[in-house]
Amino acid sequence: MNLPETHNRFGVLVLSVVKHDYVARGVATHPRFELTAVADDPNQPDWIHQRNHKFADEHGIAYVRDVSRAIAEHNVQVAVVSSEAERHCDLSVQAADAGLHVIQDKPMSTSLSECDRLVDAVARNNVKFLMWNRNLLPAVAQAQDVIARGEVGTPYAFHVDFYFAKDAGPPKGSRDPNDPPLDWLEALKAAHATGADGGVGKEPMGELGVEGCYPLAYIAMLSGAKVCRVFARTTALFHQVCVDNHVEDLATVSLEFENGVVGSLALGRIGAASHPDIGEIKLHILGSKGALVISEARPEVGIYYRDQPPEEFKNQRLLATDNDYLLADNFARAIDTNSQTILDAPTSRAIAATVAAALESGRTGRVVDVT
Amino acid sequence: MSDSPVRLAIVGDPSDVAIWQDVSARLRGGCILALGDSMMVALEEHHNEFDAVVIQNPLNDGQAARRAAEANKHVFISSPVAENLSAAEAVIEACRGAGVCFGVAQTFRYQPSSQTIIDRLSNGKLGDPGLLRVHRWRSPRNKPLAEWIFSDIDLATRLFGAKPTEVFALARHDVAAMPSYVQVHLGYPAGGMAIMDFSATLPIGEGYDSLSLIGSRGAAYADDHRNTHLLYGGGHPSTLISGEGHGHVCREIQTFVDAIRENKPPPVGDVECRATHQVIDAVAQSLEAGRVLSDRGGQYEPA
Repeated sequence: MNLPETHNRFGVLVLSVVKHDYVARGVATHPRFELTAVADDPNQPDWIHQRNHKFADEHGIAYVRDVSRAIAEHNVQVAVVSSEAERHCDLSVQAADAGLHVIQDKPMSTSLSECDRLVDAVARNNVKFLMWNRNLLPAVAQAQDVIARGEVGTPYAFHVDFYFAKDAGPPKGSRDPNDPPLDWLEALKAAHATGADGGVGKEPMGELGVEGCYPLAYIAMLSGAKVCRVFARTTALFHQVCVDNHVEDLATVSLEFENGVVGSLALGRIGAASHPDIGEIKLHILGSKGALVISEARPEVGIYYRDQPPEEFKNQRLLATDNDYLLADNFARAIDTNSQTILDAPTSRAIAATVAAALESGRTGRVVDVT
Repeated sequence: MSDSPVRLAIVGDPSDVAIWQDVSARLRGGCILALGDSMMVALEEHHNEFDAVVIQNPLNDGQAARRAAEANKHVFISSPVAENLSAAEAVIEACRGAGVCFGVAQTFRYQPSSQTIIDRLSNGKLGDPGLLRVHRWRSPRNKPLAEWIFSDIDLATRLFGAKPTEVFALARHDVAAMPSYVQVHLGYPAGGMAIMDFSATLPIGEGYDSLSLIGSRGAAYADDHRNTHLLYGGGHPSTLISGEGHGHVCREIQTFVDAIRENKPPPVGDVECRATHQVIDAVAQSLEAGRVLSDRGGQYEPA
């Protein structure tokens, strides 16, 4: 019997873990990655230090209030960045400049110039970068296999529905008109308990900014093409926090690609009442010889029982946690073989540019070039 | 209201006699007395046997409809009424001039799935409509744009209760002059939006239909993917998709019969027809210009 080749392990420095901590936990599912320490910049507010500290305590590792010192004092080769979105790139650049490979939570940033700075840092330091994503979920991987086998011919249209059937504080219009606007940061901090705090930070972010990375990453992987023009409609239909902070919770985007391929996104945080599970997430792909309709959630198992908590999803995804392991494995292999990760820095930057163009289109009502 | 039943002639594509017999049996205040494939023959040989005509496959810029109107027959014409707004206007004007009822058939409004969604939306269960997503995929066919998209544009107008304020469209052409694929992106008042795609590139066989509506209080999903059964015959299983039957044909014609008997406009009459054809013309303009068109006082112009 041939045993698998033994590889070295990677020490992992978690750089801020202020929102959901699934990225760091996901990386830790792989035996080659060992969480070593948590670090953050010292001048961060108390709530950030408290969350970092809590995560470090749960994992029995140190929390260091100085990123440079943590890198110097711990034997780490990989950084996992899961801060507020506006600090993602800054922390990732610090890590890359210190020679660490970087795994980062989405979105890449709230600023394209920050994305550019990170792309440069990754290239300059010859380190690997992975944007955490859902591309290795079994249904998405199956779609990729079907396309690779030529079963739909040459794909020419990619459509993704990406709805999260979750609430986000008080519904639109449910508060007194004289109430002060809901504070974005405080609202998102409060959402931490449910894990619905992907947009936590000082800068309000709509659903397209927070979650658009996922469906655009599917399309980037499956099409291998770059988006060149977009037209988008955006609105705040559901949640008062989005209305008060002038960000969208519902969006549609028409996509035009460089190679003549077309596509679209329909995306939103549509409220818990709008779907029996986490939300409809589907891929519709048309090709020259056929078409493919994929439900991203499948395979799943339905679980229903008396006194079932209303917040418990009644259809449980199978193999979803395998995505974590496979992403970490993809990252390890990229380091081992000096190959590209499944969602590298330039592709992540292209996705961020598509989102930025879509937001501009939503504001102006015009078709916008993606730059 | 007239006591005598409205006598209908089906003209154009009367191939499925059994369906029309069933529709006739279900109609209240109306009956189907003639089936034929030629308006000329219907008018010349059966002129006194019917009061109204249901026109299937109305390709020829509404010529059959105009002829029926001139013969004082009420006109229920399958969508699209014509290839563009000006040709549709000619049909509408012919009916108005003759004083006969004008209605548009073969919309999606009366399909069971649409009826369910319209019902829930109308009684407030779904809240305000926010996002309509439609996929209509078919085998290759060389049909004008209006024939692809009329029924969904009309349904979207019904669901949002308004014409779109913005129109943007993309298309792909393979070999033929007609596009093989069209994507239509519409904006509606109060932030509403619709995105629909129409493909004619599936291999020969059944098509695929999917419609979802996201509202401010809930959502509806009418999707062949959800209504698919499995058939095992070796190798990979095949799928069977349950259709929605033909009861909607009867419901739709009933609205026309009721409109004639009660001397009122049908649910999809001249106003709705004009509105839909305006949008279709805007889609065609957007495809040509690659730009967004906005509603400016009833006319779509570049944004």
